[in-house]
Order: sequence, then structure tokens, then C-alpha cells
Amino acid sequence: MARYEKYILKQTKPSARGTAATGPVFDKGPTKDWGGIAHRFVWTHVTAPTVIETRAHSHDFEEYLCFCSADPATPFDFGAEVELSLGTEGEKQVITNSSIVCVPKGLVHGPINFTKVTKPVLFTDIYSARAHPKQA
Amino acid sequence: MAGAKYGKYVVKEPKGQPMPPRTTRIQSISLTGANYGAIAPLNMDFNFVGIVGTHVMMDPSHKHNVDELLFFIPKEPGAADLGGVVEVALGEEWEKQTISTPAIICLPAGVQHGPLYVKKVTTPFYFGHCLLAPKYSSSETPAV
Repeated sequence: MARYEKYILKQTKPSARGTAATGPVFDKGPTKDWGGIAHRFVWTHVTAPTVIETRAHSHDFEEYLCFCSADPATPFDFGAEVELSLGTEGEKQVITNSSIVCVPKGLVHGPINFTKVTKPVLFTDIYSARAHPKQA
Repeated sequence: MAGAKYGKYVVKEPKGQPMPPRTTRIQSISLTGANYGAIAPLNMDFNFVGIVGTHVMMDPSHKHNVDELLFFIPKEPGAADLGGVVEVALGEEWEKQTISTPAIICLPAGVQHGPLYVKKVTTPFYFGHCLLAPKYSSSETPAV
């Protein structure tokens, strides 16, 4: 049974990275050299207004910020309002639908502010790197 | 106008490739070559699916020439229980792995995977793939 088990990361206890608004975050743990793969995936449930990213920042890899209903039975029943700033000029985007924000290499993004949450949201961060700078 | 310059990076209600409605799974957000729109090409393909009933997926088994992640996300924040039980075969020998907690499976290029059997669903949960390629393809669905 042991050959492929190393490729499976299971959450057996809550992560310490969560806040009251986001709940426990699925924590990747020590995955820097995980199977040699070069992309990562982190999720959190947002249940109340919160600023989930405070900084405007950029990096040299692609990132995808995914917003959808936390209820898998109704993925497009989105009950939140999220403000996201993009570009050096901080152009504000307002997200009120289940959405994916594609952040190309070098594009400045953040802060990310959940200004209103009427239904829990699943927020997922996917990025093409072994570690995010803020997590390195 | 708010959002004018960078609005193209926000893909709203991305439902991916049209799929026939099913009683066991519900299409959620998806990023594929089809909905990159003005921002193509991006080197990522992913798909979220709401799992609401038992069924078999990823049959026949297949593999990719790029890395992939499979993810299992519970409905409830911080739940230690996935809300279901999934069995997935990994490798040429179909080594059976059982998933009943939130989990991510990393599949380096070339590692065969599937079938995947959703054996039990007590609470709907999310399942999906995240492939490091601009378009989904596999040994069973080669790129054309």
C-alpha cells in the first residue's frame, strides 16, 4: 500500500493558519519537493467579512484566485461581495458571482477584501510555483 | 468605468465545457482553454465538480505528460471528514487508496490514475483536477 501513499496529503487536524472569518485553512504542510511537481493548491472557507490579503504584490508565476459557493450542490449560488485590486494603479474589481481571477506573471494584485458574506464562500488559491512568497 | 483595464482577468461564472446534467455531480467553476478568452494562453487547466451522489469517474484509468493535482474539499470549514468516501486506483498496479478526509493527491507526470469510485456521500463535497497545461489531455483523451 505504501508506494503511492506519499503523493496524498490528508488533512487530519485543523490548520493554525485560519481566522475566525475564514475557518481553518487546508495547510499544505511540508510540500516543497512534493513528488517533484511545481504547482500548488490551497483553499479556505470564508464565512464572514474579512481582508484575506492585505498586500498589493506580484510574483514571477501565474496565480488563479477562485471564488465559488462553499456548497458543492449549488456552486454558482454566490452570496458575497469581494473587492480585489489589480495593477499598479490598484484598479478595483468587484466580484459578486462565482469567478476565477487569472493573475499573469508580474501583475500586481491585492488587497482582497470580502466586504459582504451572506453565504459561505470557498476561496481557492492555485499557483504555478512550489511556494508562494508569503509562505516561503 | 471601474474594472475597465484589468476586467479581462476576471472570468465570471466560468462553467467550462458544457456537460450533460447528472444526478451525481454538478459542474462548478472551471478554467479551460475554452474560457481563457482574451488572456490566453495560460498554462493551467482546472475543474471543480460538486459531488452529490455515488458513481464511478476516471474510468478507464489514464495518465498525463504533465503534473496534476486531484483535490477533495468538504462543504464545512475545517471539517476533518470529507463528507464521503472515495476509492481511487493509483499506478499501473491500481493500488487502491481510500480518501475520507479533505485531501490533495499530487500526480507527477506519467503516474497512472483511475478509476475513481465515489463510494459514499453523506454531505456534498468538491472534487476536481488541476493540470499544469493549457488544455486538458491524457492518454485516453490525447490533445488534437
